[in-house]
Amino acid sequence: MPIFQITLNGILTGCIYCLIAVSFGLSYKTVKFYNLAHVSLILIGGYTMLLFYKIWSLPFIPSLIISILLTAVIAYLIQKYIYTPLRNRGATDMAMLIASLGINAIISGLIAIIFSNQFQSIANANLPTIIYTFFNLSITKIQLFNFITTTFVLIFVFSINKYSNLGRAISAIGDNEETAKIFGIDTKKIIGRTAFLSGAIAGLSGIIIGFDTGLKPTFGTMIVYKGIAANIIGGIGNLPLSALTSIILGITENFGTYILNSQWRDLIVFLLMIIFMYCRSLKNAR
Amino acid sequence: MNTKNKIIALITVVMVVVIGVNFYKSNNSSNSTNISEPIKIGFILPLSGEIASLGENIKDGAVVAANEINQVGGINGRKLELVFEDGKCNLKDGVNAANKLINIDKVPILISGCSDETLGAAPLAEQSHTIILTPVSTNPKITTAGDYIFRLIPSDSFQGKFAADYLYDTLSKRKVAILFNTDKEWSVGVKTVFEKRFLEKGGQIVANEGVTSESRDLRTTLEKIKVSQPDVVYAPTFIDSGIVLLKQSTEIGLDTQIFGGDVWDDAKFGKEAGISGNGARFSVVSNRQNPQFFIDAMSALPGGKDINAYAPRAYDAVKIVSNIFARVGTDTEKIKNELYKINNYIGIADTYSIDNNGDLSNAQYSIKEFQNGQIIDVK
Amino acid sequence: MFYLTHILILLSIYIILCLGLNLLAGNTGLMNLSQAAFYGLGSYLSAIFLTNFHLNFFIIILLTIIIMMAISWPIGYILNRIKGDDFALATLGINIIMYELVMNLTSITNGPVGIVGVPRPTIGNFTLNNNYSFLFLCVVALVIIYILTLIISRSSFGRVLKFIRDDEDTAKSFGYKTGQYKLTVFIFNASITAVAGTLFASFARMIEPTALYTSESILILSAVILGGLSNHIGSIFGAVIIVTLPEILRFIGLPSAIETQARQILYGLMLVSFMFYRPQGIFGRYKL
Repeated sequence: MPIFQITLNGILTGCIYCLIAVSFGLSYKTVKFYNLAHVSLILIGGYTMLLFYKIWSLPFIPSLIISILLTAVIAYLIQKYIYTPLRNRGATDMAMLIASLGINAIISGLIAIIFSNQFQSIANANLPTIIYTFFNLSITKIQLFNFITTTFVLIFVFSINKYSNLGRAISAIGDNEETAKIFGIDTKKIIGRTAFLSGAIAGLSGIIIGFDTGLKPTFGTMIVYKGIAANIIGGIGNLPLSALTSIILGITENFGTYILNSQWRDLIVFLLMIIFMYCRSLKNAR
Repeated sequence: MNTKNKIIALITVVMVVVIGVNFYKSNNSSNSTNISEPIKIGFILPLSGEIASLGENIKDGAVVAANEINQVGGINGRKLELVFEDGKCNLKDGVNAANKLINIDKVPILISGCSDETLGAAPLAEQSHTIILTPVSTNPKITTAGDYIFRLIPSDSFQGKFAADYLYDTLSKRKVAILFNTDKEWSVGVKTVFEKRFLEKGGQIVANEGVTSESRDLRTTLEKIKVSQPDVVYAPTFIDSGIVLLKQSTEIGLDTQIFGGDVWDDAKFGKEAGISGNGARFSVVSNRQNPQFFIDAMSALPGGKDINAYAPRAYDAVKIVSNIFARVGTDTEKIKNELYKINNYIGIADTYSIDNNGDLSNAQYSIKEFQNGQIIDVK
Repeated sequence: MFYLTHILILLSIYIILCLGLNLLAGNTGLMNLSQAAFYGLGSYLSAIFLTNFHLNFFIIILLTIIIMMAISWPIGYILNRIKGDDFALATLGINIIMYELVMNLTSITNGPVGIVGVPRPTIGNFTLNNNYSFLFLCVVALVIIYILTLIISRSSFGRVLKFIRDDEDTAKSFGYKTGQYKLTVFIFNASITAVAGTLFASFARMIEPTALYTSESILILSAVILGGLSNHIGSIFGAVIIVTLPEILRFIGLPSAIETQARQILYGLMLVSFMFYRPQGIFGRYKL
């Protein structure tokens, strides 16, 4: 069994979950509801990149930056014009979740109409895939890009979280929004900025998926569910732990595929999620 | 009455009117026995989703035939009208589409696409004595799906056997790894036949991996196949899975011969797979060379570039059906008997003879190969 | 006429599902996102029974109900402790698990292909091949379930459920065993889905895994929310919306390629605007 190659594959799968788990976790910390519109943010990131880079053939770096910024801005606008007013009207967490489902339906429907619901890949199929090989392990260029950017994003987010004023403000809101307000934190601004940041990360993950495995308007749902599952297993809002869980999930999935068959992998993830939810509720009850 | 009640009343009225009008329209169109009314043929094709481009191509093939017939005055003075419904290549939408075509449009005959669509529509068609004629569905189960079910394409019991013979005899491969889609009836069907035949011949199956057609990360599965050291990978998968398979097997350095099935005969497949598809082959039912008039007529239609294996068969299907309409009218019992009588009918794609099960009695396949995104014939 | 009966049969099945879910989501505040999975499972069970055993149709319904109760009991037990929007997410997980099971236990469920050729119910010597008679059966089932759910929500049991929804901790401190109440209503909903599932499997004459998609569960829950939580008329109206909306779009004459997406966008717009302007739904009394 090529243990190292499978572990590597697992880590790379985990990197995608990791980006989503971090982006979702950031958003959850400030708004405190399951924002399922993340699915559509990933789609926006991937498809805008498809539009700029493949259809309009702009250079790589500008299209990357524009796509990420665009996703971030849309995430910010959703937060500003939908979520915040909803909260001000006294919407419960459940109502917010339902609204996010609605937003998701609208955006993914629009994307399917504009870009068709067929499978598309951003990568140019007529260029050979660049593969690096070392110690018998092979990794493609885009996978390497995936790995490096994920590491970079993790370092960036963790350092913001720990050392910057924004991070402290996010933690304060995470603990208690009202108290944070009393202590003079402009919660609206912080929540907006977090939405921007989490949107950017979600967009980035969409772009990586688009290059690595291809895009389809329906593909994001399962990946986001898994990102959320990783978040719950790792303890929601606990970014380092959920990042770690994502990687572990990726590795388990790939070993599961190798040893058993690929068909049971989703089942295992969600079974774990429910078990963890159950255990946490037992702990809370005590 | 307050505003809330008014709104509710309004919505209710709108819904009642809409359903009523729909109902009226459906009733109205069905009760007509007027001689000058067009004869309808219903189509259930994959017009959206993964293999929509394939469906559009088939649709255009049928449209070419219908245009030809209508230009010379139709069938005994009645125009031919084609009604297209999207079956999305699954059972459920196949049933819905069949329900609409049979009960609202009252078509005497359905021409269907994917195996899943045909199998979904079959019980309804049997019950209402509607004919199904499919130029596309190759699943072995269709043979026994019913008395009213016919096809103009050979069953996969031929294709699976052909693939096994080709790989074992012509290419002298002994160890095969199979990769198939667990959620597609066509894929499971052809794989089962292949497996049986290949083992019978004395070959060895070193890996047998099922993945869903939605899976986008097959790297670990392919790694498993690579470790099993096959001589050839047999992959009767759907299009998206096939593209992912070709790309990722190049990535992980699995340079074994890859062999697919007739679904791969799609221009989109070649384009998306690009150079990673180089050398990959697949079996497809062999058609005659497309006649020039057909190529010209097809290229004038939106989805008609790059004609696939099914479009000329759809053309033949419409032609055969309208011949029968001209002879016996639209009574389905008579049409059924006429269809069973088809023997050595010469169409543009093939020469058709139908057996007692409503299947083609003979089958010929050819091999095609991808080269730089293009599909070329292998002699 | 066939078209209308077809729609009405589907409608009555969806109303049954919405009435059941309303007990859970509306009356008890448990936002269940696995209604389609239970419904699909019920369809599968009855499809297996109907194709393999030639029993009386009512015995098959009863059998399906009993098995669905047995399945939902441990699930409900685990979910009991999970609260609020965690509950919604956990049920979503349950839905995915059930879908995977149905997809992969091919020896029982026939995998992705589903079970085709489910016979229509036979009552005595009379087979309900005709859609009118089938509609009659559906309406009878609907009326029975409507009355049952109405009785439950107006009984003292139903009042405790509403108490739990509004404030579970206080209900607990009043000495109600809230866990048992929630479990009971969860199992009751499962048995309602069993009825709906049996009706669907024998009406469509087939069942396949796409019936268990999570999007279907989301659709059913949104119907209950749009119609109005904790209100029976609301649930009926919600079901009417989700069943007739696709027909209205077809009537307008949208091309089939964007019909699905257009429907999806319309649902999305409805959900968002309802959360803004009318979070209690059209007829609802309980604000989400």
